Amino acid sequence: MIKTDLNILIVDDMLTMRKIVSKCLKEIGLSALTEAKNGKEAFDLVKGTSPKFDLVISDWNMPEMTGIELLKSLRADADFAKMPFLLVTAESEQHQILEAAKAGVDAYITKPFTAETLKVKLEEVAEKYTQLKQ
Amino acid sequence: MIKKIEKSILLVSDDDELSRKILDSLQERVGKKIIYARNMKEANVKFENQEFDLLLLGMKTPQIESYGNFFIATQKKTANKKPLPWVIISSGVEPDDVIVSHPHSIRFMKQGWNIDDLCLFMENAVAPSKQGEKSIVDVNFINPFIKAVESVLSSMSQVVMNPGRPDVRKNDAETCTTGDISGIISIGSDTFSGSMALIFEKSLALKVYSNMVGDDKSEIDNDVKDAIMELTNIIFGNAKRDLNVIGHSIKPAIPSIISGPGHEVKHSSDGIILQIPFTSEFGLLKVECLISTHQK
Repeated sequence: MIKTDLNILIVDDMLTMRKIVSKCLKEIGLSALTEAKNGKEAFDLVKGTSPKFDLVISDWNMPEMTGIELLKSLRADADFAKMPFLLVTAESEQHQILEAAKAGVDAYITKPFTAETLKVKLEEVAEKYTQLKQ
Repeated sequence: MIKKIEKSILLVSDDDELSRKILDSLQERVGKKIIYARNMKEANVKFENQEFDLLLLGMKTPQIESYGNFFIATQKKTANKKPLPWVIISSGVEPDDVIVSHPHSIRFMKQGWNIDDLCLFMENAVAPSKQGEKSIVDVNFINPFIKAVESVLSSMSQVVMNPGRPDVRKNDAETCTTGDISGIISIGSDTFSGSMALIFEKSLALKVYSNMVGDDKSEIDNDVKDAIMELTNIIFGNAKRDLNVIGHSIKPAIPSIISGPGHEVKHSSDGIILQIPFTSEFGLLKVECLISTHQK
């Protein structure tokens, strides 16, 4: 069972998707949510926020810095290399899923999705990172 | 319209009623030579002895193996020229193996067609446009878009969309489709280019927005535009994935939005637009798809 007081960073250039992800997270009891409009804004937020975010949920295609670039930047930084990271994207071709896996993504959610799908993926991620579990 | 088809057609059909309908209608409309074969064996003999510009198959019980062998024979004979176009009318099994192998040479029509559709398909199959491009009006190409519209709207907004009968129209000002808010995205690969448009009635767009984000709106504003743009992106992404699995190489693209009561939707390429109307409890959605192949 996932903790309900997790600090989550939602990254998407589209306001609608940030709202949808927020709505789904609130439906499953998570309400400490911060938003960023692209990978660069997210990376700066991650580096400058204390205590650290517990989890990042990011879109793939964004201006300035994409979700996969954000993931690679975090994995390359010793302080954030083990930050749980979910990609939520319309990109769902095999080579893209492989690229994300190679970059170290913890879960991959294809749009469209429901709150239930998001919950299942969060539970999967919590199995890998015990600090996310109650 | 059909005058562009000036050379010979080989009609192969094992369905007597369909053959009679095609022969009567096309002889009258086209005024050109149509050679008739009752089966693939007869078709092979006729094909060996004469040049054809288009193959029209109307099959009651499609034999995929026969289709495949005959298709390979026709393409061998025309190896140094552009592929010979096929138009297939089938009341049964879809010959997927043939279509997947040669997606740009075959137009596939399902039941429910009429003679006007057939004329447009045939014109489209043999006549390049002014820009040296040729439009694809292929129901198989648009099926992933139909599937994506249904699944994305159902899961993201809980709105059930019911597809109606596909129609074709020319991309010109006289037959422009109008809507209240539309998402448009280009569809491009190394071999073809075109666009897809999702054309919403206001009532449907507002309901979809409300269900997606949990926030009611009475007018189309920037938030609703953002939501329709995201929907267009997701529907395109889902259809792109399915089409790329069967051998297309569609590139990523960014959608744009047009809004305003009764705005006209224009596609940037020349050619024939395939349009599918979707009805719902909350209003109408029209999906349009225009694809033009690059001629080599």
